Amino acid sequence: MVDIFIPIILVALSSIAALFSLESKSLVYGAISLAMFFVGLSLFFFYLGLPYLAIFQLAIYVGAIAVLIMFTVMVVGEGTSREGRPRLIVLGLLGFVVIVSSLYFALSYFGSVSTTQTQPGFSMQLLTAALIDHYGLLILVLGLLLTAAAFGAVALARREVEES
Amino acid sequence: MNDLVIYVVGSTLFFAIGIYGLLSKRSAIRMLFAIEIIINAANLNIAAFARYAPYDLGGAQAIAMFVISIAAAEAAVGLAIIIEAFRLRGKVNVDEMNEMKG
Amino acid sequence: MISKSETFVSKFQKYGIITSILILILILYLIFPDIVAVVRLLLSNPVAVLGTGLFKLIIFPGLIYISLVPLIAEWVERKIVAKMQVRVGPLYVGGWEGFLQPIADLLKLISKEIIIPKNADKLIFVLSPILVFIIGALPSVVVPYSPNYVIWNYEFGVLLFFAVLGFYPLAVLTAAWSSNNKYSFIGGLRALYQLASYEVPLFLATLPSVMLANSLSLSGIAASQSRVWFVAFAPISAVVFFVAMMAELERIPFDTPEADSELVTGWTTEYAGMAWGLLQFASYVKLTALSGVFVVLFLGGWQGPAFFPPVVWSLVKVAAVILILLLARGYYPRIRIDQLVRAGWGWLIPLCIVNILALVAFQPYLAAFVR
Repeated sequence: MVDIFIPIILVALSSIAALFSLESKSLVYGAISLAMFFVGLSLFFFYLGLPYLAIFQLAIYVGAIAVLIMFTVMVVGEGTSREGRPRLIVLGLLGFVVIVSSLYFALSYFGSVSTTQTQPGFSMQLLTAALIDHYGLLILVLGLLLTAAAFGAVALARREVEES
Repeated sequence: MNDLVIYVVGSTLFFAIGIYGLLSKRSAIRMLFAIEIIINAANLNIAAFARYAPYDLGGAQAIAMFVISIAAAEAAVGLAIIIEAFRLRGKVNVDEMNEMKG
Repeated sequence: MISKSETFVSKFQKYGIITSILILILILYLIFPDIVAVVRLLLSNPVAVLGTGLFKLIIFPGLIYISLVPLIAEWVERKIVAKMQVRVGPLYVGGWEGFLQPIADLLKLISKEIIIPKNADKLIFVLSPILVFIIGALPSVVVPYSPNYVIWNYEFGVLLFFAVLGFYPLAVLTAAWSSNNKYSFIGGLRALYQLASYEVPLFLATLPSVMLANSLSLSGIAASQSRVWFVAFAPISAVVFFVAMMAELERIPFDTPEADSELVTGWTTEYAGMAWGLLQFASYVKLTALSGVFVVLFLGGWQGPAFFPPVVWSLVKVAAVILILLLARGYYPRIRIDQLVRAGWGWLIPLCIVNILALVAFQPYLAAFVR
């Protein structure tokens, strides 16, 4: 019974955090709430038995992205004039349709297939084997991409020195 | 009802919240929040299916890690663009960024 | 204005203490349902209690230990820096060399009023020091002091340690922003620059030890140094780790975030009383945790000649590392923020990569020395 309750509570808390991050009046509160959402996701990964992914999520999302977002929010300030458009009902219906259809799909399809975690537990060997054997080239490409992104971000945000 | 359904429904819920934010908010920062929520929803889906499906667990985790890394790069570039737009215009509403000259 | 914030603080203190005690008891009960058995064991066989998880959590590598180290370190720091500057330092409290001065300071801080600025964001302002303290104290959980004395012997201890440490800039930024003070905010931004540029070399400098030990758990790394300490194979990384550690702790050559000649005290400017005390306390707790990890990664952890028990070796090494960290305060001037960022990205990271490449090249020859 507990096995079902923990993910349900996590889903509830994380969706509240996600909604609050979008709807809060102050952007700083929104950023903090978004960081909580990231922590909630990492708790999901811990609970799924994928500790490496969970710690990766913590380090990258909470340690880097949330800090960057917070920094930007503090620099930019609240600087927005008008928020939102009066299309909420349509969007709400759209979201509802998406959720219900996916639920129906999930129930009808996976309800009949295996319902338990059949995998053996997480092992570092599997992950490293996958990373090196299958995705070695991708890692290189990813490294180049990250370097390019770092250079791009620095070039964009750099304040040009005015000579006077 | 099995556990996987909870994760799938949760992930869909996060995805829907993200789509809602992306479509209804006009502030570039909020839209970035929404994009991050969507990416996280996708990641949760990958992780949950990897845990229940009889396939290689390592590959799915590797993909999830790639997603997280690329999200980090995307956030860095996106935030740099937001800061630059703020410097040029003083506000970050995407509705008002409709001209190319900076 | 003052009365309003006063009522908020007093309410927060009154209910905060009660709720935190209740939560602590609940957590203790959830983690250790056998707490009654431990108490019974204490009455019948006091020595056996030393090995229980409750003892580890509360007394030795846990709460009491990490609260005692800051008190001692503060006194040692003040005394040593005073001697280096030809002063006498604390002299009166407690008789001998004023060794009870930290306790007097603590009592003073507790009795002072926590002033909340009028335009501060009250909720975040009050919660930030607590968050800073939690983030500073949490990494200590995975640091081993002997094969037995580690609170949580986690398989991915290294990763968890540095991931949790990575939250620190977030808490610093919220503290700086919520103060609504320009000195706080400038200090917070400087702290962000510094922590962000020195986290990367800190991560990279741990890699050689992980590679050599072939393990991500801190206990495993310490256990595989029984022949040679890893500082012999990774001297550059050890130096880089030490420097980056100093920068992470915002200690003197790298204390630009709280440069007291420019920015009052940086991001802690608006905090008073025990809120400020909590921030200082958190920085010393973080110092203990990072020194412990430095010892485990490079100085062999609990390994040493057998005439002392392992715990004593750990404590001696940690004390030595803390002492060197404290000594730096009397020697060096503060470096500028641009020098600091350039040193982090331009020197420390390439040095780390040089050491990693050298290790990769020589790894077949080193296998005989590990374990």
